[in-house]
Order: sequence, then C-alpha cells, then structure tokens
Amino acid sequence: MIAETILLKARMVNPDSHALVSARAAGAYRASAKALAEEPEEIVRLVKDSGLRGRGGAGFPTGLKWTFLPKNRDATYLCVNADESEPGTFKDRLILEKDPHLLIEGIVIACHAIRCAHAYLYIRGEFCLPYERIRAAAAEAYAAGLLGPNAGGSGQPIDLTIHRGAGAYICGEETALLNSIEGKKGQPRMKPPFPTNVGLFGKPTVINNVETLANLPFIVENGPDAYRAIGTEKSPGTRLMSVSGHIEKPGVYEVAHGVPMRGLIEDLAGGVRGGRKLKALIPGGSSTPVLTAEEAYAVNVDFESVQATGSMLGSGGCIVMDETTDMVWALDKLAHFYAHESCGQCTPCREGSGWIAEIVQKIAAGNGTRKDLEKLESLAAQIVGNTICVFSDALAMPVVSHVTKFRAEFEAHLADRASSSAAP
Amino acid sequence: MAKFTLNGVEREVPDGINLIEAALLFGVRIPHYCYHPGLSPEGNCRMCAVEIEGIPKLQTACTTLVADGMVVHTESEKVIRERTEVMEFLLRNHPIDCPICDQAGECGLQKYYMEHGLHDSRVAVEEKILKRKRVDLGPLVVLDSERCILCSRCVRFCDEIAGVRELVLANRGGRSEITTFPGRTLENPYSGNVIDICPVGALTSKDFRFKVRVWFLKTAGSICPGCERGCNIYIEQYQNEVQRIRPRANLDVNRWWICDDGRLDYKWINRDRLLRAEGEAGAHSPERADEEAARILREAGSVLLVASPRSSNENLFALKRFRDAALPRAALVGGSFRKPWEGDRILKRPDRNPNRKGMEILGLSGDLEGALRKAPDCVLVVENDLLGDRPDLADLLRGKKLIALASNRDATAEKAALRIPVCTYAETEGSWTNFEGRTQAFHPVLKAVGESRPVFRVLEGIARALGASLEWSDFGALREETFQAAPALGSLSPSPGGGAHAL
Repeated sequence: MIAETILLKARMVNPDSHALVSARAAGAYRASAKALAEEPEEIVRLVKDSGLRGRGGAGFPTGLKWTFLPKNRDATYLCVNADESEPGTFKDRLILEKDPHLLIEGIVIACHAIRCAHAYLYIRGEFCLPYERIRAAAAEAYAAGLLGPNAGGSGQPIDLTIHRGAGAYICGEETALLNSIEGKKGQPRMKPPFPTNVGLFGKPTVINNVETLANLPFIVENGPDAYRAIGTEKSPGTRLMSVSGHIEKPGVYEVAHGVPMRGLIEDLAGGVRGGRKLKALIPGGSSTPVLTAEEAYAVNVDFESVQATGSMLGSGGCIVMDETTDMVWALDKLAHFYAHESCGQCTPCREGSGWIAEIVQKIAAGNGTRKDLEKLESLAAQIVGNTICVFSDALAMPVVSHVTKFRAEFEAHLADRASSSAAP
Repeated sequence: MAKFTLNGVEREVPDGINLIEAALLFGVRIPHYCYHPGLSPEGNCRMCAVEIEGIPKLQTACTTLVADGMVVHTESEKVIRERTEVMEFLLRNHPIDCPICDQAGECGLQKYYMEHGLHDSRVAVEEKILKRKRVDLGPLVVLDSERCILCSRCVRFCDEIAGVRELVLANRGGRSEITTFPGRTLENPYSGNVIDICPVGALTSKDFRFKVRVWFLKTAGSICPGCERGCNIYIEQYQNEVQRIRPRANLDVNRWWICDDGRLDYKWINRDRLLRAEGEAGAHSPERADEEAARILREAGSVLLVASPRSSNENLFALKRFRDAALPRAALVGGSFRKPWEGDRILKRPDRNPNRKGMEILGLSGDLEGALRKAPDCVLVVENDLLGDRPDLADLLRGKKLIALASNRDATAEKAALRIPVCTYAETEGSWTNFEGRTQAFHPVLKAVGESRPVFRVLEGIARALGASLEWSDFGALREETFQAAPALGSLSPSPGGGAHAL
C-alpha cells in the first residue's frame, strides 16, 4: 500500500483553506518573510540545491532557469502559468481553489529571488472558481501588505496582475502566453531569443507553473536537504497527480516522486472502475505517449522512470482507460482536440493537424483503408520537429503511440481489413 | 565578417545577415514563402528549413543569423525531404485553380512544386477545406482565401511598412484566414504592395485581374513619374499597352515598395494619345509638322520655350541646345503648375514632377508665370500641360501662337495652334534626377504610339527646318553630351536590388 506524501495539500483540509486567516493560522507567509530577509542570490541557491523541477510538463530545473536571466537588466517579469489547458490535468486548479495563498507566497519568494517587481498570473479563461479565489486572495494579500509597494515589509514592491485567458490551449505554451498578455494573438514566438532574455514586453522574463511556485515555501522553510529527502535523486519532492478516466476515485493525489504507478492507481485512486482491467494509461497529460497496461504497471511516478518507456510524466495528468475502451475512438477525440487547438501559424501543424483528425475520424467511422492508416503514420512523422513550438509533437506522440501500441484495433476498424482479422 | 560553411564550402559573409541572404550571395537559393527581406521574419511557412550541424532539428534559414563556424547544409536529404513534405501540406487545401488564377505563371506554389514537390497527391478533392473565394478587401485588392498559405506577409506589410493595422489573421488552425477588421477595408495608400508580396494567388489586383496572362507580358525597368521620389518600377505591356506597374527593388530609393497612386499612374499612357501632328489646317506628316513649327517660330516676334520638370534630362538638354542653335533670342524657362499632393513619411513627396532637380541642374528653372506674362508672340511648350494644371492661364495665352510637343490630347495640346506627338517615358530612353540628386535611367517598354517621336528628334526636325544644325547620331550620343555638359547630374545611379525577395 502506498500513501500520499503531503507537502502542497497540507492546508487544504482546513475549513476555508482559501482564506488568508485560515492559511496564516496554518503557517502561510512564514517562508516568504524568511525569504525576503535573505539576499535574492541565496534563494536562487536554495532552489537550485533543492533540485526542484518545473511541473508544467518539461521538468526543467527551476533554479537553473532563473540563472539564465541576464546579469544587468532594468526590469524582470515573472509570469505564472495558470493556464492548465492540457487535457487530463487539473492539479493547478486545486491549488488555486483550495490554497491560493500558497501560490501567492511562492510568487513573492520567486519575485524576490529574481528581483521582479511585477508578476503576471495568466489564468485559464474557463477557470471560474479558481479565478474568483485567486483574485480574492490577491486582494487579501494586498490589504495585508504581503503584496504591494512594500511587500511583506521588505521595502521592495511586488505587484501581481491577474490576466484571464480566452480559451486557447496554445496559450499554455509560454511564449504564446506572453503574446496573449501583451494583447496579441496567442501564437508561440520564435526561440531564440528565449523569454529569460526577451520575454514579456521585451524584458527578461521567467515563466513558472503554479505547482512549481507552490513548492517554494516548503523549500525556503525547510531547506533543500529536507526537500531532497522526498522523492528520487533526479525528481525530488512530491507530485500532484491528476487521475481521471475509468477510475473509482478520480482526483488529485500528492505522492512522493518514485512511487509505483500501480500504487497510485490501485491504492490511492481505488483501482479501475467497476473492477475492470486496465487497457491503457496516458501518464502525463494528453500529449504524452499512451502506455499499455503492462507498461503502466511497470513505471514509477517520476520523470526518469516514465521517460524510460518513451513517454513523459509531463504535467502529471493520468488518464485511465479500461478494457472496454475503443482506442480508435480515444485517438479520434484527441486528434479532434489538437486540430481544433492548433494556432495555425506553421504550415505542418496547421495543415497536418486537420488532416490527421480527418483520417482518424474516417477510420473510427469504419471508412478508413490500409492506405489511410499508412498515411496517418507518415503524416505524424511529417509534422514533428519543423514548427515554432512543440504543439505538433504533442499531437504526433499520441498518434504514433496509439497506432503502434494498439495497431490491431486500428486494423480491425478498416473498411478493407483482411477477412481473417478480428471484427471490431 | 563571419566565416561559415555552406554545402561544404567555406564562405565569408558580413555579420548579422540571415542564412537565406547569406546563401544567396553564393548563388544558393533557399526556397521560402513567409520570409521577405523588407519585413520582420516569422518563420511560419517552414519552407526554408535547413540543416545546421550540431543542432538536431532543422532550423528556419530566415530566422537564423550566420554565426562564425556554422556548418550549413541546404541540399541534404533531410532538407529536401522536409521541403517536399511542406509542399504537400501547403497544397493540401489549395484549390489548384491555376487555370483561372491570375498568379499562374508567377506563383510560388507552382514554382516550388516543380522544384521541391512533384509528389503524388494523397488528398481527395472533396476533402479540402472550402473558404471564401472573392473577398473584396479594399479598392485595389481581392482575396481568395482558399489559395492563401497564411504566410502573413500582407499582415506584416500593413503593420510594419504602411503603419496601419488593417489586416489580421483571424481564427485558428485550418480555419485561419486573412481578413480586415469587421466593417473596415484595406485602404492604406500603399495597399497594392500586398499583391506583389503575396507569394500565391490569394491577393490579386482588381486593376489587373483577368486582363492578361503574365507570361505574355513584356517587362522593362523604369522609374515612376508620379513624384520626385523616383521609385523604381517595372512597366509591363501586352500588345503595346501598359497592363500593370510593379515596384522594382532599390534599397536606396523605394526599397521594395511603391504607392498606390504610382501603381495606377499608367492609364494615361494607353489612352487619349496624340497620334498625328495637327495644325489649324488639319493633320500633318512629321516632316510637314516640323516645317509648320519652324514657320510659326520664324514669323513670331518673340518666342518663349517652356521646359518641363517631367521631361528627361536628355530632352531638357536637347531643348537647351535647340534654343542655342536655332533660336538664340528665344527665352527658355522651365516650370510646372502641377498641384502638389500631400507627401508622407514613407515614399510620397509633395512635388509631383519626377525631374524638378534635373531641370534645376540644367539651369532651366525660372519664373514661368512671369515669362508668360511678358507676352511673347509664340509659346512652344514641351511635355507640359500648362492649361490642364492651371486652366486660368488660358486668358494669359489668348492671342499667342501655341505649339505643343505633347504625348496626349491634354488641355494644352487641344488649345495649341500646332500639336506634335512625342513619346512618353514608357517609349523612350531617358533619365530623371530625383529630389536627392540621384539620376536614374528608364528604358522603353512600348513601341512609339502613332507618329510620336522622342522629343529630341522633333527638336532636331524643327531646327533643321529653321536652317540650324542640330543632330545626334543616336540617343547615346545625346546622353553623353548631356552628362558632359552638366556634371552635377552625376552618373547614372545603380539600383541595388533587394535581396531574396523574388519568388
């Protein structure tokens, strides 16, 4: 039996956990007060030593990202990525709803560390309650002097602007997010220059995920060693795993990195719905390659273990599919989503995403041919790697993994299937 | 300078240029759609992707600056495969309506399909996304959304060059479309440039649509006569009529652009032309016209020769020599009553005469109105529509013998006792000197219309009839003499082209 390891969810069980009074009674803003008394470089060192890796999907070391900021800079921005648009992921929503002050405290610490006087929080437009909660929390923090011209009595200003998105998946991509805040169309920017050099309004900018920032209070308060004591060597700390799909107890579970996936599914989330067998599992949000049941039960919840299977832990959005799932139907839903969300900027992604979706739909409807299946695979290979952002990879990976790992199901859907093959 | 290796050969190029421009310096053309040297790079079409050693993914050449030690492959197997794949995507929803498309023959899709595509189609026609076919964007431009490859050149042109946000890319993914803001039109005074920079048949010219197939056009490099900027242009003709005008890149003058007024400033070349010399007694042969002019001039007590800032330097010089050789007592004054228009900070200059500066250098500028008021008996006007520009001058000219050397039946020619047809700038060699003192040559694209002759040939004929000796063996001799006599004209300015803009 595995159990949750609670760092980020600690206060969420308290009544009115989102309110400042409740949060403070449980220790909120102790860490930020400590941080503000330290030199910014010291905080950067702490975070580097902690080994904290970004929770938005790529798992990039947070402290290292901060050090990419140029030495001489007149302004720095922090952008908090609360767009959480990856299907299957809903852990940032939990923080925003249940403990927004944990996030604001993390923002204060990060702003101090990178010498940022103005943070922008970009929140997904569909997040209504989370928006209300973070807005109310920010107002409370301003009123209490935790944010504002003299943040936490430090003598330095830290402002927080909350910007609501308008419902585009791509705005979770960090440079599209910057464009969106600037009032432009949410389309990814060419890199280089990287945001740490030329970011929001042309200034050096750090973009961090909500959950990443929520880890900072613990690290500041308890030190990097205490943080590293949790999780694995390369994936320290805990992970908020969003578990959804054919599962008895869907929800957000906080586990130490390195626990077996089987434990997460069976012990914490109550196992596959109705006692059925697991067929497939998407481990880290819709764009990560799907795992077969066998693979899923063999991995642990950490970056390197999932990576070894050829998939990714990504944003920690586990989508559970039981034995009754039609994998062609599942891919049809995903492909439709990606065709709908491609920003349309780069040729391969714009044209390829729609084309792929059409072919999958055709196969799902029973009208596909062997040629269509071949075309699907070649198109997936064709869209990878030649676009401004990684959206096309995010579409190609599920396509390739679904078709490769569940090929028989796809073939069974074909109109010109060999008569010997199994009926769908 | 930066040293880099291009397809196995070490090359040296200036710092800060991108790979498309760097490769072009050595004759290596990297295909591209969205890149235009006059606009900020976007890297969205992905056609220019090249292989750079040490970087696993292909990189867009338009957004990559050459760096010391870079090893670049533009023709590797990976690059060539990528181009074919991008072509397949670009044509996926393209209607392939080349037979009715004005861009056919100068289309980037046709060109690169032949060079880099040649794939078998994997698309059924009925699967293509249908979009709007005839969108009236503004006074000059029509959009065919199905042909659009969404390269955003036109959007960037409006934002960055015209300085107005008139076009946007609306919607996402395969439903993306170029459009104006609701209820607004594309109407900036430079809007026509989006037609030229559109690499496909999405943006076509209302003025040129369905007129003629581009492969029938004959083209000559010329200079816009619209104002004293002297924008470099191409004039294109079919069956000896001008069909359209396009900008010719010159980084020193107009970069890659022209204004819409300049673009449409050709219709007068095709219509209301003076085809034969006409006097009070009817039409004349060229020889007869010269003799008639000589007679009028000889009989007049006092003669005023009026030069024009629209004439070429060579014609102005010829007029000067004509005065010296044939009519030494005649007054010679140049000027124009053409109303200035509003200039702007992009290209348009207020003075609408292309050769004011050349006329000054040749010493012909003067008080034209004052000279007319001095009541000469006879006024010989060369390429100058005095009465069209200032109808009130009719009173002043009443009772005087008016001889007009004119290309068109303009107000002055109509009032003249003798009108002799001359060639426009589209039919002759010549040069104009722009407001900065830059002397630029233009070349003939049309055959002389009717019995029109170059101005200097008409002047030769009249001089001959007056018993004076004035003759140039050919235009080259006249030009040589002109430039020798007026060193301030400088030498003919080269036109530094605009890099990798030509698709």
